[in-house]
Amino acid sequence: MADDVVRLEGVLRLRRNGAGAFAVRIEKLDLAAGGAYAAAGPSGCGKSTLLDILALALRPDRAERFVLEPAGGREAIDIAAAWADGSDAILGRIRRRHIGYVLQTGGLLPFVTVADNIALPARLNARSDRARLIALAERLGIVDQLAKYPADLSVGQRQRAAIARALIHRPSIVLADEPTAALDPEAAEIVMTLLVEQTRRDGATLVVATHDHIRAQRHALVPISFAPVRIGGAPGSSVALAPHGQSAEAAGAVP
Amino acid sequence: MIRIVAGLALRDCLYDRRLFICFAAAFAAVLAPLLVIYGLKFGVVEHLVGTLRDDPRNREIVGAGNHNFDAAWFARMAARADVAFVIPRTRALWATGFLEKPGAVAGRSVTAELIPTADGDPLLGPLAAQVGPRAIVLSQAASRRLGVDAGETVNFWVVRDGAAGRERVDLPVTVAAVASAAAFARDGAFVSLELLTAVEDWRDGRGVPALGWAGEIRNGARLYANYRLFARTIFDVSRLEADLQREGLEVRTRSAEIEAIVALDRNLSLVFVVVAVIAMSGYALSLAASLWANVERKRRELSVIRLLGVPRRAARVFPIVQGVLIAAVGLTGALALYAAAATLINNLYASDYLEGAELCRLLPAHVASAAAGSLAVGAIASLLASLRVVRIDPAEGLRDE
Repeated sequence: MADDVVRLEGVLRLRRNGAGAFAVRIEKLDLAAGGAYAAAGPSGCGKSTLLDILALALRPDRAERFVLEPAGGREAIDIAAAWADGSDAILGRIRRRHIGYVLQTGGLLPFVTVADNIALPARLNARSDRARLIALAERLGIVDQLAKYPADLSVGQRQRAAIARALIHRPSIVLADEPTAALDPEAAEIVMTLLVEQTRRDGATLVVATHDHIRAQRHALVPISFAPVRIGGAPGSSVALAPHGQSAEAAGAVP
Repeated sequence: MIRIVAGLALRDCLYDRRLFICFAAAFAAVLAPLLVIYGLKFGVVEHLVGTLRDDPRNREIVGAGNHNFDAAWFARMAARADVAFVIPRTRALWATGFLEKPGAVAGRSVTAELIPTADGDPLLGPLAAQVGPRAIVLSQAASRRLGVDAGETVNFWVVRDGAAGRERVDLPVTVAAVASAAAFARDGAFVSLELLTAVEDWRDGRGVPALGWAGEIRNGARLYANYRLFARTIFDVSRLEADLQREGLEVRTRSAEIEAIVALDRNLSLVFVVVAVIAMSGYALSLAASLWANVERKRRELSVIRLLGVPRRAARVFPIVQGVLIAAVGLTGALALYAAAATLINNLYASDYLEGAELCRLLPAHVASAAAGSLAVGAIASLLASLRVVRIDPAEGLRDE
């Protein structure tokens, strides 16, 4: 049985935008090591907020428990405490060691080659594993693209490079925000397949934010559901892990 | 971590090299004329100062009238750091003697002014060391009139009108050397202070036992009517002049000419500083705006870098590296432009105008300060952009706006 890799309990975040306040509350969310999850729902349901919180890019207003347990039985990291401490250096260190990111249009740096883009997280961790880089590029079918600049790649190839970059430093958790939104259906299918396969093969936990439930379902991603609620008078979302086998719709997440 | 970010900043410059070459070219366009202007100012002023400095007479302080200076006064002057050379001088009226080549036709004698000298005399340089009790250095004019050269012996004599009528003493002396024409223009002989003092004593009616010259012997401190005085550098002259005037002494110097050049240098430097400050601050502002714009344009990439775990203090290096790189490349370009312009100017004008001196030149120290100043401008211009980077949120990198 897989251990949990991320545990959240009593996490609350209030977001203010032009329209007013919007709150997201996570009563309890335990993500299992090696699991693949989908935060699926329309925009405004709170999946971006959830992803930002998981990415350590957004400070929770309140967090009773927010713990990351890295693979290999290493000591658990108390992220709630790190936020309370507020140290940018400590949060940065957790991000670069334990988290991999796949962004909507890759988020590759245009001014370095694909190989250097992929190698960057490893270099930031003072590790450089050329053999792993080549192996990942082979698994993702982009070996021929390594010497090129991102601008010379197709959008699909860029997403594959982004997956390699998210995995190079063996993170515990991979976060993907709308990784297939910019792709045509065929390329989207290939990229999603590779993302799920490769994260599973590396034993990392995957959380994908997507508006496409059908694709999420097809790739057997465990849905994280969002239920509309009022939190302190403000409109908001309550986040929960849907029971295995249930679709997001079945959990009543989509209004 | 900082090294990785600096590397990324350099790669960004390389990738966007056309843009960054434009920034560097703009820097060179501002800096190169400044270097040429400063080079011209320095070359011209250095040449003028050099001309003054090369002639020791510009450092001379000539006393007027006859006074009574004692040994303590000369010791005090010699001890001053701004005094290069000081020696007593007797009354000008008594400081002459006759010189004649042995065996020459009668009437071919020369009346020479006697100038006391000693080691370190700026007018004679190394020749001064050859002057002794019986050895003199002739001025070029005197040497020519007498028809004698270094190494020959001449007859030296002085006369006095005493109670016993006209008296004369003779002294054969060796011509140790002939001074350069610049040292003394008239008929003159550089002699030891001992000989000059003997001449004055004897003409005053006293005896000089050392030379066998008869006369009355008086004891007591020897006083001197005048002095020969040289300042250490041309810039020490006006201070010495003022100090002597404060003692109530009338002096003549060339301090006015020196002051004129010092003032010219000061005014040109001031103009240069004003021009340089305006030009460089204008450029620094424009570079700051460009670097800020680059950070704004690279905001997504920078937030991705932050998201990948680069802390703020490392991320802020990004625009600083770029600012310093632009300044360094611009500086190199400016130095190349300066070198070309200076070569051209020196070839066109220097040979006619400055007797072969370089009209436009910079010392290594000037180049070093230009380099340090440029890199500082690059770094300062990038500070604003650097503050902007610090405020970039890693969450911005998560999604396209």
